[in-house]
Amino acid sequence: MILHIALKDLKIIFKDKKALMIMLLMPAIIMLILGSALGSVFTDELKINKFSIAVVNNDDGQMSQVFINKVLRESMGDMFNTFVVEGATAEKMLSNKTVPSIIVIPQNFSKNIDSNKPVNIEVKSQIDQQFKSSIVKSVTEGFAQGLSQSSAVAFAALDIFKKHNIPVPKPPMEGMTESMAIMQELQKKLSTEMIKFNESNEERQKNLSGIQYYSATMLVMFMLFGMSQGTKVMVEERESKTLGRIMSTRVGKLNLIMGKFLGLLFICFTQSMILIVFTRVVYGVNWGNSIPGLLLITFCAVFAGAALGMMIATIAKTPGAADGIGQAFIQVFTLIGGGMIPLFVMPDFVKYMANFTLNSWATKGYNDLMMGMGIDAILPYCGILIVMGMGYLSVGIARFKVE
Amino acid sequence: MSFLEVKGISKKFGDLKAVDNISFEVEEGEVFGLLGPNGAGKSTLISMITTLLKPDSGDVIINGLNLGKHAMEIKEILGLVPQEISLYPTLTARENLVFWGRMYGLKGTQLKERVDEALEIAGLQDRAKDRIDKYSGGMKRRINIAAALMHHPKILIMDEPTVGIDPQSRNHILETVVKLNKEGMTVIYTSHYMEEVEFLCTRIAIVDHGKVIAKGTKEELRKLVGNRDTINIGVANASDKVLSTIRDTNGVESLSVEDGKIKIIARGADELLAKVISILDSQRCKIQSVNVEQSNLESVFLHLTGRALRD
Repeated sequence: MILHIALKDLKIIFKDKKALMIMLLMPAIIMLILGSALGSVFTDELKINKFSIAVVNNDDGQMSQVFINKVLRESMGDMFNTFVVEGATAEKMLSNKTVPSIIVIPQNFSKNIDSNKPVNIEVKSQIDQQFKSSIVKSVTEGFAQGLSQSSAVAFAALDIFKKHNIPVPKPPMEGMTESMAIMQELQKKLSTEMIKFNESNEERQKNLSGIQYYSATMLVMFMLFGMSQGTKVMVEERESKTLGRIMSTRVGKLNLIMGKFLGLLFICFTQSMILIVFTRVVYGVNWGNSIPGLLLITFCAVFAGAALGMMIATIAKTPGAADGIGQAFIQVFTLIGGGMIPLFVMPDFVKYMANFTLNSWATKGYNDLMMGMGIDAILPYCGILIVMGMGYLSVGIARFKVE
Repeated sequence: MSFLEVKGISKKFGDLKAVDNISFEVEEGEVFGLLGPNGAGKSTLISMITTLLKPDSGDVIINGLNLGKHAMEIKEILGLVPQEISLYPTLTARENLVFWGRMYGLKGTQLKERVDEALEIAGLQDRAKDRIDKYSGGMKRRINIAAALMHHPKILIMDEPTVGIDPQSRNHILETVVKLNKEGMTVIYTSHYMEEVEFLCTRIAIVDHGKVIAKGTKEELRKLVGNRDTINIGVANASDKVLSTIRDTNGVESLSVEDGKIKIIARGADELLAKVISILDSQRCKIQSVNVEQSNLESVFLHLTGRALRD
């Protein structure tokens, strides 16, 4: 019964030519206009420029120095400005957003590698700097994995050398162990891998085009218009006592609420998918390479949007009021969520307020995917959207009335 | 035990007592009328009987089941025809009926058969593929009723089912109710149209200001008025002074004005009529029509409340 209620709502919306114009035709046109007109804004601004990172080095050995000097400062020098600081300073730099990530090298890092023990380098990141922090994380993980592999290989090689009486290469420096000497040889390979990684990231840093940015923001905005249409239908149903009539059948209140919510989800998700496919095929918009990521962020944005719709439906007393409240939410959320003017040109207060809009988080997710990131990068945004949706939905369920 | 028992049911909205301690019983297979003006509390009462509103106090028992404890079982035997056209205007009649059938748990061949049957009852088989918003008011009302019959309910509750429709559709609806009742369906028929209630119902409760002010068979209710007649006089220009003079005339029990007609409840209409015409004539009022009726539910309501049903 829940499914029948939802499918009926989907059918009603897709039979409404005016609603379809608002939900599909208008966004297609506006995406093109905004993308073309404001595309130049994105030429430089969205490029990931060189940024700073802080390193807390609790190790007194050589391996941490190799990581800081060879990897971070040398191989990744074009991308990072690396500062080695105390723990408290690094935390402060992270919290006031001076750096997107901090790297914490643990005590006895070099010693543990030398003893072939497992090692871990911690990376702490700001939640809204996913792209930059993921680069830092990837570099660190790449180094740690490379180190573990080369350490394992070095120890295995040393065993074989000793077993077969093969002369072990002499450490070039005093204090350096034999295994470290073998590992140093392997570092060359590791550095090559790092360079490869760096180049691949440069490739990923291609500018986000205007049409890409506005396809994402308009997708979210018009998804909310779809939500608003569904909400209006729901309030009309309450006014015409159709919801009440459903309640007089075998459908319970919970089933009715779930049916209506699922209906909104269907409407918004279908609309979003049509717009994504349309912009990809007609405008050639690159939505990224991760289809699961695209589906996930769309689902989470739609979940939050549909839940917002449920909340509005319980606040509005008439279809006109539902329309008005819906429009108010859409316009305010779109404006402060960076839907019209990109957030990076907005004042700090607006940037802060953007955190309370689903538009901002959904757009960040789409943008990250468009810049070539995978599903992992958007998980925090998805989490925030789901939490927002749960909040809206709770209000909607608590206030839901059929009459 | 009666098929439906309403026991001391009440509902308040803020300070307004919409339904105030109402009790009545409906026997299986009868057409029971709830008659009262708009705003009397009939729809609130219906909402409580059909589980849409929770009463503040009182009980409803249908087919031996308490509404508070067995709402789902009761819903399976209950059909509701709301006062509003509770249909989806952009869907066709068939799509609407399929949806409502599914809400009652019907599927497959049974659903298809019931849809065809409901369309036949509504007399709209030929228009099944038309959208509801292309229908006339009367046709919408007929589908509104048909949707409530999809699951073959034992009791049909109709809330003002003929508001704003043409005489042809009204007749069709009234005939449908008679037919369904003959087939054994119990019906609660709510209306402010006295003629419909008088035509259809075996027993009637008159509701005003949230209370049942009288109930019984038509004959029992008429007896409340006694040997009283209703005089209807069409007058073009009766002033308040003229009305006041008539109201003070000996024999006039109550007077109201409705649709340009003076409605007088009186004992001994023949004698009084001459006096009233004389008053109107002396005040140079233009008399357009005169008609004397024996007591009916309208006069019962007027007698009990001093107001016409459509005031």
